[in-house]
Amino acid sequence: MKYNEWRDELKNNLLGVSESERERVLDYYAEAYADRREAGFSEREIIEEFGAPYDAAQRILAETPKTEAEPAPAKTAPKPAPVLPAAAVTPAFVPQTAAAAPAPKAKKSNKVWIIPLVVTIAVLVILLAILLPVRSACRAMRTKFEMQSYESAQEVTALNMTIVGSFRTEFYDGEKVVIDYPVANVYNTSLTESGGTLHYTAKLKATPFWGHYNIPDAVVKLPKSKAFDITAEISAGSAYLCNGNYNDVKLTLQAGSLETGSIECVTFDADIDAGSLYAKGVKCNKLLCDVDAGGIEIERLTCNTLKANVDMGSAEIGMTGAKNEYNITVNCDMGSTNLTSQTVPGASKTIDISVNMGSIAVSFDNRI
Amino acid sequence: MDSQLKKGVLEVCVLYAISKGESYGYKIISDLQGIIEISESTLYPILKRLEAGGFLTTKTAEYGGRLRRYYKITPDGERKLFAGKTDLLEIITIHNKLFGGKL
Repeated sequence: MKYNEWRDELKNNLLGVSESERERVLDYYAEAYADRREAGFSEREIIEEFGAPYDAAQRILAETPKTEAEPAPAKTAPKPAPVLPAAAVTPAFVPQTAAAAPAPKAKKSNKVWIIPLVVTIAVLVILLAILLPVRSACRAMRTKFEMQSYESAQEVTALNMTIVGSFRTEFYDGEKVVIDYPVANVYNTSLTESGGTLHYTAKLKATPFWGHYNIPDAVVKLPKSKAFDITAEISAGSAYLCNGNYNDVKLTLQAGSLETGSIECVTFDADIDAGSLYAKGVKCNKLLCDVDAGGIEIERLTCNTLKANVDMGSAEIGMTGAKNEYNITVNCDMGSTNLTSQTVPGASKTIDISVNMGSIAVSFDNRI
Repeated sequence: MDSQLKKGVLEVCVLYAISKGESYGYKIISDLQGIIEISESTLYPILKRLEAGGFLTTKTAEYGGRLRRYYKITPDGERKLFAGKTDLLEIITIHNKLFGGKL
């Protein structure tokens, strides 16, 4: 379809709007067409982008008050049929019977039983719609989880967790990694070790139709004498990293919350789709955070490299040290930030901030 | 996204795009690319609604031998934008509380 054909079809579908409004719509699309052609789009691509002219017209009509209807063309009243005298229509040869046969009575429709049936079915459907979710929710909440314990068999330096649910870490004086984890018939869990990594996965066999399961936290007990790599991917749940030393921390959260105490690590990498990260204190070489929709709050951050990308969410970060210790790069699309880009000669630390439609606020405490 | 919710979000997005400076249809769509999907057919009724509400004004100016309609945000539009931004942040907060730790 060519643009002119598209425009004509749009015009034909804009029924009931004023002439001025119709012209405005056509001007709007003409301008859009010209701009897109200037931008390098082909006519076919532009038409595809505009969509069907009927659909475009319907969207416009839905928002546009209708004008007075154009007067309908005057209809001429039909001429009444001539009335002929009765005698003239009765054929002479029709025999006159003594008693005219009675006209057959119209059959009475006897379908009144349909109404109670429809009402009964409707009531049953409504009851099911109420009872099924309630039953599902009650069953979900009554599901019992038991706790089991797993102790690492080999030398472990890293944990890799993929869970639906929550976990928290604790440091203790032992030598082995111990995980106390929940089990239930609705919950698939697996613990394996390979190459120094302890893998823990926990997933629901099926999500309840309604309600949610109260899944207890898995508790990951780590020997105080070592620093571990922690990699965790949480679909829905929470994670808490207690105070202590870690190696590389990588946390991916689809929906839920991450929280840390005061931790030290080499690299801290948080990827949050929808959720929140609260860190009391992080001391690391590099901190990377990517927030799609959610919030990050780090009370006290000490690092050499900070890279934060906030799509549609917010980040509040309190940095130790002075602002002039950092080379700062800010890319602020449709969001807001209190930082501006700066290059400081001799500065070895970097802050790289990118905000799409959200906000990032970074403060400095100026303490060494 | 729910259509009513998307309607509100789109208005905030369009107002934000215009708040950066006087803008026009294709530029608004380009500026919002990567943030939210919006086409000319979706944009037109939004612009009309915002103009009818007094949140933006329009003017036509000559550009490259043709006419182009420009949109500019009004003080009421700035207030509506601020309210919209607050609403979005509230949605995020509610979401975080709702899904914080529980299925």
